[in-house]
Amino acid sequence: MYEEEKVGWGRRVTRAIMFALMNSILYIFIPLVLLSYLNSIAPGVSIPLTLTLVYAFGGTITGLFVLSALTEGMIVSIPFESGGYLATAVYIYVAVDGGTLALSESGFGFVFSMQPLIFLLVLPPLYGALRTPLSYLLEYHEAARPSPDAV
Amino acid sequence: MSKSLRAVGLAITLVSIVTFATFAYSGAADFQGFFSSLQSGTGSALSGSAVLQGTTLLLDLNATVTNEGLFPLSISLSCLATQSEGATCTNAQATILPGQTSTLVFRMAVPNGTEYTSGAKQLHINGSATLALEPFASVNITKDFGTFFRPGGS
Repeated sequence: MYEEEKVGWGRRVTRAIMFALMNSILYIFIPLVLLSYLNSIAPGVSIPLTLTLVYAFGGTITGLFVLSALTEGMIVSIPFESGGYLATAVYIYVAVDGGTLALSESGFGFVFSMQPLIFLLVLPPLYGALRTPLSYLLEYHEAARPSPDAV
Repeated sequence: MSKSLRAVGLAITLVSIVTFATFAYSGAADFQGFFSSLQSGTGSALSGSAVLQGTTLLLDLNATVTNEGLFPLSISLSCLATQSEGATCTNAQATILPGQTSTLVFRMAVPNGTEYTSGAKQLHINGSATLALEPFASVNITKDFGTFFRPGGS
C-alpha cells in the first residue's frame, strides 16, 4: 500500500526545506519585488496583484507543498500536493486578472490581453493536480490492477 | 504508467517554457527593431503629413514596420465611427509575417480644417492602435490622436 512506502524522515525534512525555500522565492519574494517595481513606475494605478494576494496564496502554496513533502509516501500527501498545484493555478490566474490587464488614465487607455499565454502558465500546475491522484490510483490502488479473470 | 504521466507533465512544461521564450524574444526583437529604426533616422519608420485640401484637413500617418520576431505581427490603427468634430478615418490594418516589411497608411480627414491649422481650436480624434503577436498576446491603446497634431507642423 501507499502508506508502506519506505521514505525516511531525513529525506522528508530535506525536501520540505527545499520546497519552503523554492516556493517562498517563487510565489512570495519574486511577486513582492515585481509589485514594488510596478508601484514605483505607475503609482496609484490599480493592478490585480496585491500584497494580500501574494501573502495569502504564497503562504498557502508553500504550506501545502511543505506538508506534502513531510508526508511523502503517505496517502495524506496526495491532497496536499494536489491542493498545492491547484492553489498555484488559481494564484497565477488571479494575479494577472485572467490574462487581461487594463489601465486607464484621462484620455489614455491601455489593454494588454494574453489569455493563451496564461493558459500555458496554468496548464502545468493543473496537470500536476490531476497527475498526483492518478499516479497513486494507477500504481497503488487495486482498482487499477488487472483483474485475475482477464489473464 | 506513472512514468508516462510524468513524461507528459514534463512535455507540457517544456512546451510552455519554449513558447514563453520565443514570445519574449519575438516581442523584444520587434520592439527593438522598430525603435532603433526610428532613432537611426535613416529609414522612414514613422512619418506624418498634414495637408489642407480646400477646407478639409488631411492627416496622413505612414508607418513602415519590419517584423523581426518569430510570430506574425498584426497592427491596426482605427478611430471611432462617430467623432465630435466630424472627422473620418481610413483604418489601417496589416499582418506582417516574420522577416517581412509592411507599410501602413492611416488617413484622417477633418472638416473645417482651417480652425485647427490656425491654432484656434485643438483637434480631438479618438482612436485606437492595436499591436498583436499572433496568436498569443495583444496590446490595445486608446488615445486622442488629435494631440499629435501641432498647428504649423504635422
